[in-house]
Amino acid sequence: MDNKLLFSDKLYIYLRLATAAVKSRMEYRGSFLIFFFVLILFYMAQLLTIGVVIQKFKSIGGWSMGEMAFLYSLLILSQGLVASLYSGLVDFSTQVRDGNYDRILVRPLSPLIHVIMNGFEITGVAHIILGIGSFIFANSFLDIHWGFINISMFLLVVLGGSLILAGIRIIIAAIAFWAINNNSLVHLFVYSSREFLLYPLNIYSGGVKFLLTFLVPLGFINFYPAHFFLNKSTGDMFHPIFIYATFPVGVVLYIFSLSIWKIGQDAYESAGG
Amino acid sequence: MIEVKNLCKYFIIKKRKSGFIGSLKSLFYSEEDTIKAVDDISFQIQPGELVGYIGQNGAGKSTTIKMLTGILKPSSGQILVNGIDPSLERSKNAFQIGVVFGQRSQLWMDLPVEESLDLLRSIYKIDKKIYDKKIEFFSDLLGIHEFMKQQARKLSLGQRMKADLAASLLHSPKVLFLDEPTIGLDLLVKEKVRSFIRSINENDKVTIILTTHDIQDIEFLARRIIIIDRGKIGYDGGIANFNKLVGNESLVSVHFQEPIKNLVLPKPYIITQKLSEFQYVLRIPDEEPLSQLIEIFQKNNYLIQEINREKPELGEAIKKMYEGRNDI
Amino acid sequence: MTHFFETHLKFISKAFQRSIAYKLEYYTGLANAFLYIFIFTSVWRTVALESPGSLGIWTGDALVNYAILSTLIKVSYGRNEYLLINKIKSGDIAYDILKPYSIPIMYISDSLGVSVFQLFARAIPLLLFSIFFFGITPDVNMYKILQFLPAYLISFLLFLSFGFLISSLAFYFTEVFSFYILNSALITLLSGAVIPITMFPESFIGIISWTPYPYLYYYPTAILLDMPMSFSYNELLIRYFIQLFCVSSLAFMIYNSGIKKMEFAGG
Repeated sequence: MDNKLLFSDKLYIYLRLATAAVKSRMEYRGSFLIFFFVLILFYMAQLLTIGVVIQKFKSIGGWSMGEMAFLYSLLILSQGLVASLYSGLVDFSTQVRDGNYDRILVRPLSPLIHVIMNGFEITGVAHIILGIGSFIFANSFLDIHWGFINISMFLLVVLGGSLILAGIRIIIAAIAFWAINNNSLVHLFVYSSREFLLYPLNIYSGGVKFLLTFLVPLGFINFYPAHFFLNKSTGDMFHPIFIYATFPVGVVLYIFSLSIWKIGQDAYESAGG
Repeated sequence: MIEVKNLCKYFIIKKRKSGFIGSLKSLFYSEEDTIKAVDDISFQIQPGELVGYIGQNGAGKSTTIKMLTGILKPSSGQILVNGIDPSLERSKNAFQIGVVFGQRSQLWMDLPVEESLDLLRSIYKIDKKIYDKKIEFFSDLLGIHEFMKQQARKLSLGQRMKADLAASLLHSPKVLFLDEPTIGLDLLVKEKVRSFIRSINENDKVTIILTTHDIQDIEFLARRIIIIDRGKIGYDGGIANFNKLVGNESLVSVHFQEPIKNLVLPKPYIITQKLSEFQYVLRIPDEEPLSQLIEIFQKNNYLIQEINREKPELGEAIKKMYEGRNDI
Repeated sequence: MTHFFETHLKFISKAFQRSIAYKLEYYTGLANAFLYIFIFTSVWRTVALESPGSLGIWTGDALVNYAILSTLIKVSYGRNEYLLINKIKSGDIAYDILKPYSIPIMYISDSLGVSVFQLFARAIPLLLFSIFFFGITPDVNMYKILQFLPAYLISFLLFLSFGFLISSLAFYFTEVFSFYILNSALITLLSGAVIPITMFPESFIGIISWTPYPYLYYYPTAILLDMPMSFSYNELLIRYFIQLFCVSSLAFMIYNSGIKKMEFAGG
């Protein structure tokens, strides 16, 4: 028996783990479908809420209904990728506390990828569905020409946005290594922070814009890149180059989050959790 | 071979205050304390040995095991498992060790057992032919074929333990760590599990480290025990020798033909229990032959109906050790 | 009688202590609430500036006050969802039934403990933050506060009834989380936690007022802000009682049939 796992072996294993996670879900087909359905309802309620406001005020911060929908679609498409892959990190604190992380450590795999693949969430697809839906809706109001540049840029932006969201999740999950119950942090950084992004950042005071750009770079997920597609004036931005920066910011943040994870893992091995 | 040299593990814990005012205080600051969970222990385990690793809760038992399996990094000292440092080369070590956590399962709870085992087959890159043979082997010895298609969540405790044992041995590890493998199992299943563990140790020469609170597990399986007490090694050696060292005594139960109101015996015999006027339980030193005792009974005209000597109980010996240590 | 109070006072105290024990959760919980207030006040200030004509009777300041007050109310309501759900799932509830206290009242006591904590540790600091940060001046009108209190209390009971209802569903469904999400979705849209229901087109407002949701956050806030309503205060109170009655009856029905079901199964 080989004591070495090649890259291709590992890829195959991770795929199998993700499949196993989906299969586990499917064992409870009824509640799975209900959950999926309810999740979509939840996001639609969110949308409708904004919709009610827009229908009354016609625009928020100079952004029309179509533009707001476009903002939303960028956000939720990035979320779709992340919700599928990185949901395993959301309850990581519980996994550590219950001692379930230990059995992952005795296996010959990367613990982070193992945890991620174990928690593969097929319901993340709900985000993709909503994202495509809101994208189509937005497009019906807007006048964007989808040529090669715009399409490539769009893909890069969604990917970059996903990297930003994933990076944040990894960092927050890593906090569990220090034996800290991070559930409230998860709630704050993973869920509540999204609320900011439902609206254009220019309605917030300067301090918050600063925070959402330089501290927790959520602004790069939808607000800044939206200016690129919608040809909006960049007068209120810190620097016009931000509209191109989503992908690089995502990559940097993601790499940074991996090193935080490594530091956390080392701390866990020292302190036992 | 497992080599442990001057192993130490220190923890810093925050002191929590209790009560209403205490919890309000802890919102703002907390005190720290250093605990020496493992304090300079050393031992060697040869390939093919089956060692019982015993200790009270909090004695440093699970901390040691976590360091041996690479989950925890030592504060100082060295561990080598077949030449590999578990915490430095975690992945490499993973291929040569198997672990069974008594209270938690390795299996994927919502999937059928055979799916869990098949996933492990991929994770450890086990050759299909070898894998099939192993499954057959486990079916023969443990009967896992009976519940292969069942969701792991729906298994009884005994079934789950059997499946976990199989899961831990699929990749033919050289070293097996068993943590409370018989906890909560009924008698028949316990015996099956113990026989299984013994056979893989004797036939396949798997080195086994067994941590358990069940003394009968140890008596049946291990010849050597390592006792860890408050972070230090209390004893490392054979069970028989341990009994002798601690001065463990056998228990003798006597059934007399006629009732004896007050049984009085000279030293070193001690009466531990009077079950009735006919039945008494005595303690006698291990080397003492029964014949001496029988002579004393005859001299006093105590007619014996039945007399039985029980093997010295390891549990009693360990208790004695702890009691003795408290006196110091 | 005193034993009853002693027992339940202990529950309240335990829940209070539990809330303090998680200091990180405390600080991020505060941050969370502050975040929501901030977002909505920003939105309202922006639209008030841009489209003042569309506001109707609501001024920009009134909307900002609304966002803050409704969030404060939301934050002061506390309950421990998992308390009941875990007991039902693990079967521990069978032991609780044998004990000399009533489970619904234990639930209320526990929630009271959490809520008292949240009222003092979250709502009040947030109120002070808001006065300082957003410059709102609370209009202290004794009469309005007197009118507000019953609505606030019944609304709290309504909040608890929702929790009790959904938790009781654990007798029947393995996964009650979906119901919580569904409930959260409806609360987001209809309870006034995010937007006052008067933002909805006229035709909808009537329908919404027949669901229990706006009674949670919209109406109590509207009373405090002295906002006109389509019915009198007395009618509002009657409606409150009707809603509470309906939701809590439903909750009790599910709970009791769940207990019966468990007793039959020998759970």
